[in-house]
Amino acid sequence: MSELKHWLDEGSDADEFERSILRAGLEADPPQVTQDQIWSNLMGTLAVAPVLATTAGVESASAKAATAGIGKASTVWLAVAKGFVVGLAVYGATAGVSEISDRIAAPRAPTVASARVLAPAKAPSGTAEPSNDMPATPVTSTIDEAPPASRAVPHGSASASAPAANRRQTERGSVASFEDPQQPRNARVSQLEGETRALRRARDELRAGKLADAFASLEASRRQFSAPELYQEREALMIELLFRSGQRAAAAQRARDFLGRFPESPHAQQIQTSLR
Amino acid sequence: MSDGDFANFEAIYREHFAFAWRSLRRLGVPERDLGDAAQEVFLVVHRKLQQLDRERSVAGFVYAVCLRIASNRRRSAVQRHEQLNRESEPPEATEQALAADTEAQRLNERRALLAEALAAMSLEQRAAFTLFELEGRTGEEVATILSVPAATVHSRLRLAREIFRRIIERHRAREHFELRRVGGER
Repeated sequence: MSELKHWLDEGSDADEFERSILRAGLEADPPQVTQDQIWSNLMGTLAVAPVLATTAGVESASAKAATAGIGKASTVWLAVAKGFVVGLAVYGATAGVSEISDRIAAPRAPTVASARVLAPAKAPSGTAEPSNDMPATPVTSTIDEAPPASRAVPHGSASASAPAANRRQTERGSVASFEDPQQPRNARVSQLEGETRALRRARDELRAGKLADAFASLEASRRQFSAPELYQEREALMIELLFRSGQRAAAAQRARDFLGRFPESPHAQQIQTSLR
Repeated sequence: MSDGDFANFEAIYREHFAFAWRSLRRLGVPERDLGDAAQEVFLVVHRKLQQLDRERSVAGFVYAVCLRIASNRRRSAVQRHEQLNRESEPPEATEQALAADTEAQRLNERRALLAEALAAMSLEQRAAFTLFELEGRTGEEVATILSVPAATVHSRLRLAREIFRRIIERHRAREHFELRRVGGER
């Protein structure tokens, strides 16, 4: 390449007209204001990007979940374990989002969320740890969202009649038991476990006001789990994070997208509330 | 994204934004779409920040993204039966130029001619040509940015120059024909 000269250089074999054509292409750089404006847009969009990036993954995961629910006998136990873990995680994330929303919105009357959570029918009350005694078919139970003091307690379990504080403590105990290293593990559960931990960490950071850390945790989760099982939970946390970090327009846009895609989500009402 | 990653991303953005902007324009992205395309470029850069290795220059990384986005947009434009490169020139600029002095009009005509020549090149030839002739990069730098051997750059540049000259010659021939025709009518 050393033998080549730029046509715009003196002594090149281009004639003056050809050079004048090339010089016409030497436009000025974009003004600084354009650069700043696009940077600003970029910062707003970067938080929204995960929704687009994970859409296909969620649909794929949903399809897999449906397949697992009605599929072969060999995958039934996996479905049971997965259902259980999803149930715990949904509850965990719901509680987190609820608390955050409570802080944003004014105190309000208790509402009923039609949250459907997969849970094992014969799971031991309170500790509900996956075990070999679980039935092959997961059943659905409903979570009634109680006032803040006794929020999100599964119906149909023995713990449903316990005092609210105890019930919450019981649920926390369930979450804690989920981390028991003795429990059965497989790749699917490992992903759910990883996602659950990541979301719980993000939620805790959000509660503690560590917004940058919460964002980093959610971003790490997004990168790690390209086909997330807990997509809605992560999205709900991200919306809250955006609201709390003052990016209200991005949060509102993302919330509307969420409600459009998942109108029946257990988080829909909380997100709806935060929009007001 | 960690604080370090974020700082790194912002540094890349500040340092390479103008380069990306110019590259997109020279790769045929219409003026009206430049903002969106530039934003798209840095969204991808952000997403692939971890893949940025030391062996490839950051400019090369950014340019590769520009190339892909320009290519995608070109393909979409073709599908929509748009004249992508004609739209590189904002129509309002042409009107302004017509209303303004002849120098501006001449500049506009030259830009249109350059756009015509660039449009006649393949995207790879166009990349080599604009990086070398307009961006002022050396052959080795172009090879590094495009991650191709220097001989490949040489070949693309030679073909691109031939296309450029062919378009210029055609333009001259037309102009000459017009002048003679006008002269003959007189």
